[in-house]
Amino acid sequence: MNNTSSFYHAIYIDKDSCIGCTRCLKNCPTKSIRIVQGVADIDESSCIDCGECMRVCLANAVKIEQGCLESIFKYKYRVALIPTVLSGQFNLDVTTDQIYKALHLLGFTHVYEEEESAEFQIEAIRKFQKETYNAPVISTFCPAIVRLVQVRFPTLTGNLVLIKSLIDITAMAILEDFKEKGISPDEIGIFYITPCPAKIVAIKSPVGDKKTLITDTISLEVIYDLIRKKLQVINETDISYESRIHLTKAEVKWSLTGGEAKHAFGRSLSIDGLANVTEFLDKVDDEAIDDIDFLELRACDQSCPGGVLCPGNRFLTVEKLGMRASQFNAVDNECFEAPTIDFPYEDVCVPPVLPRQQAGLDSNISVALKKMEKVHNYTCYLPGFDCGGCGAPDCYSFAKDVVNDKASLSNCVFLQFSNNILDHEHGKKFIENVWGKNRLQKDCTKKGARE
Amino acid sequence: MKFEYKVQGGNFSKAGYASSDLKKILKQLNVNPAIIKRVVVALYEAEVNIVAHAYNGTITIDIDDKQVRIVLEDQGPGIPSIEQAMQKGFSTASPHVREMGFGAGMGLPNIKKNADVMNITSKVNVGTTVEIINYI
Ligand SMILES: Nc1ncnc2c1ncn2[C@@H]1O[C@H](COP(=O)(O)OP(=O)(O)OP(=O)(O)O)[C@@H](O)[C@H]1O
Ligand code: SF4
Ligand SMILES: [Mg+2]
Repeated sequence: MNNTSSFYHAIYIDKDSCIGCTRCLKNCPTKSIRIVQGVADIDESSCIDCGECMRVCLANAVKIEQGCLESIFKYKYRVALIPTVLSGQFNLDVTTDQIYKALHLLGFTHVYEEEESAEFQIEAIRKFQKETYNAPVISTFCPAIVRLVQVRFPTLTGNLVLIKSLIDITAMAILEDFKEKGISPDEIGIFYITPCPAKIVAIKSPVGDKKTLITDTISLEVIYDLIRKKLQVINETDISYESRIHLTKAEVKWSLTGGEAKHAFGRSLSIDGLANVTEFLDKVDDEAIDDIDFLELRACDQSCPGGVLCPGNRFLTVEKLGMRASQFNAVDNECFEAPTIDFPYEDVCVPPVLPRQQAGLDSNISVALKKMEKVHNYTCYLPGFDCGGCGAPDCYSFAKDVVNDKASLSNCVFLQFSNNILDHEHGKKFIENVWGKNRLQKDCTKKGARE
Repeated sequence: MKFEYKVQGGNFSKAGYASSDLKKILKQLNVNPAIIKRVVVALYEAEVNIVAHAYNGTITIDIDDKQVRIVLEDQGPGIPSIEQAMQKGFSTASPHVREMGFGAGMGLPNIKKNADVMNITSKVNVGTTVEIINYI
C-alpha cells in the first residue's frame, strides 16, 4: 500500500469498511493476512496481489490503488493500452470499432491492445527456452504467479521466463510509433486498463526490470462502465479516429487459458486457478519434473476473464473472446504472420528474478531447528480447529507467529480456557487485541452473523 | 528433533508419505536443496522397500544441526544375503510389485549412492533394519 515499504502493493484494506471476519484470512493463498485490532492486516513481504481477498470480502473493504480518468488529460497524447479481455466483456453486437470509439469519446487519443506484441514476444520466449538449462520454463504472463514463485517456491525462480511483458513490449512499440511521427515522450501518457491488481504491481514495481513505460493504470471495471454509457450515444456522435487493429486470432485468445502455451516450444501445460497452480508447482518442486518444457500458469480461474476487476462472468467472457477471435478470419488460421513489432532480442531481455523471502523458519539451521521444536510443541496444545479466533488463518500459522514473536499464545481462547491461568477480564483483553474493542458486546447492527 | 512414521506393507498408495514430509521439514530448516534431494531419494527407496517386501515397519528420523539420521525397522521376511541384495539389478519383487512399477533392483544401490552413511542388518523371517545418515 505505501511506497516507503520495500514491497509495493496495489491492494490495501480500508480499515473503516473492514468488519473483521475471517473470510480473507482463510482464503489468502500465501497466508499473508492476520486480524489485528478488529481489522485485516496484510503482510507486505508475502502478499502477491492476487486479489483472492477481494473476491471473498463481503464488506467491500479490500481496495485497489489506481489512477483515475481525469489524470489522463495532463498529456497531449493519451494512449489507452487495453487487454483483449476488455472487449470480451461486451456482447458481440458491440463491435471492436465501437469500443475504440467510446474510448476516444472518453478522452483517449489512441488505443493500442496489449496483446499486439504477443507473436513477437513468443518468438523471444522460444529463443529463451532454447538457451536456458532450467526446465520447465515458467511463463511470466501472470504477475501474481511470478510473485507466488518468489514467495512460495524460491527454488523455482530460475525457471521463470526472462523476457519483458506484453505490456512493456507493446509500450516500447507505441513510443517507437510516436517517435516516427516526431512526438516527444513527455507529451505521451500511456494508461493501462487493468483486469487485476497484480498487473498494477507489475507496472509500478516491476520484478527484475527497472523502469516502466506506463504512466498509470485504470481499473477495467471503471472503464467498462464508462464505455457502456458512451455506447448509448455513440451512433449520434460523429468521431473519426485512426482505426488500427493489429491482432491476429491467436493474439485475441492469448489471455485465455492455453492461449500462450499452445505457441511455446516443446511439451507445454496450461494451468489456471491459484490452488491448481500451487498443487502443480509443489509437484515440480518435489519431483523435479523436467520433461515438461513450458508451464503457462495463471492465478485466476479461466485466466484473465476471471480477473478480479473484470465485471463480466468469466465463462461468458471466454466464449465471447473466442467468437471475437473467429471474426479475424483474414489475418488468421492460427499461424503467425511476420510480426509488425520487432526489437533486438537483447532489448527485451530482463535480469534474473530473485526469491523474495528466505524460505523456511530461519536462515541458520540451528535456530530454525529450535523454532521448529517450539512450533511442534505449541501445536500439541492448540486445539487444531483452525478456527481463526486467534487472528491467524490456522493453528500452525498461529504457532509460527508465536515463535516469531508476532503473537501471544493467550490469543487462543481454547488455550485460555484449558490453561486456566488468565482471569476473565485479562483473557478478554487478548480477544479485544485481536478482534477490537467492544467486539464482545451485544450489537444488533453488525454486518457479520447474517445469512 | 525426532519424527516417527508407521509404514504398512502392501499399501503402495501411501508409499512416499514419510519422504515427502521430511522434504517439507528440511525445507523449513533451510537445508541445502542438493542435500535435501539426496536424503529424500534415499528415504523414499527405503520406504518403498518396506511397502514392497515387508509386512510393516517404523521410520524414525532424528535431525540435529549436523545430520539427518533415519532408521527404518520392519517386520518381514528379512534379506538372506545383503551382499546380493545390494547388487544393481537384483530383485525378488513379486509380479504384483512389478506391476506397480517397482522391482528394477535399483533401490538399495540408490540408497547407498545418496546416503553419506548406510548400514543394513537383517534377520530372515524377523525383519530388516536400514540406517541412513546424511550430514547437513
Ligand atoms: N525391507 C526389506 N525386506 C525384505 N527384503 C528386502 C527389503 N529391502 C530389500 N529387500 C530385498 O532386496 C532386493 C533388492 O532391493 P532393491 O530395493 O535394491 O530392489 P527392488 O526393491 O527389488 O526394486 P526397486 O527398488 O528397483 O524397485 C529386493 O528385491 C528384496 O529381495
Ligand atoms: S490470470 Fe490474468 S487477470 Fe488473473 S491475476 Fe493473472 S494476469 Fe491478472
Ligand atoms: Mg526397492
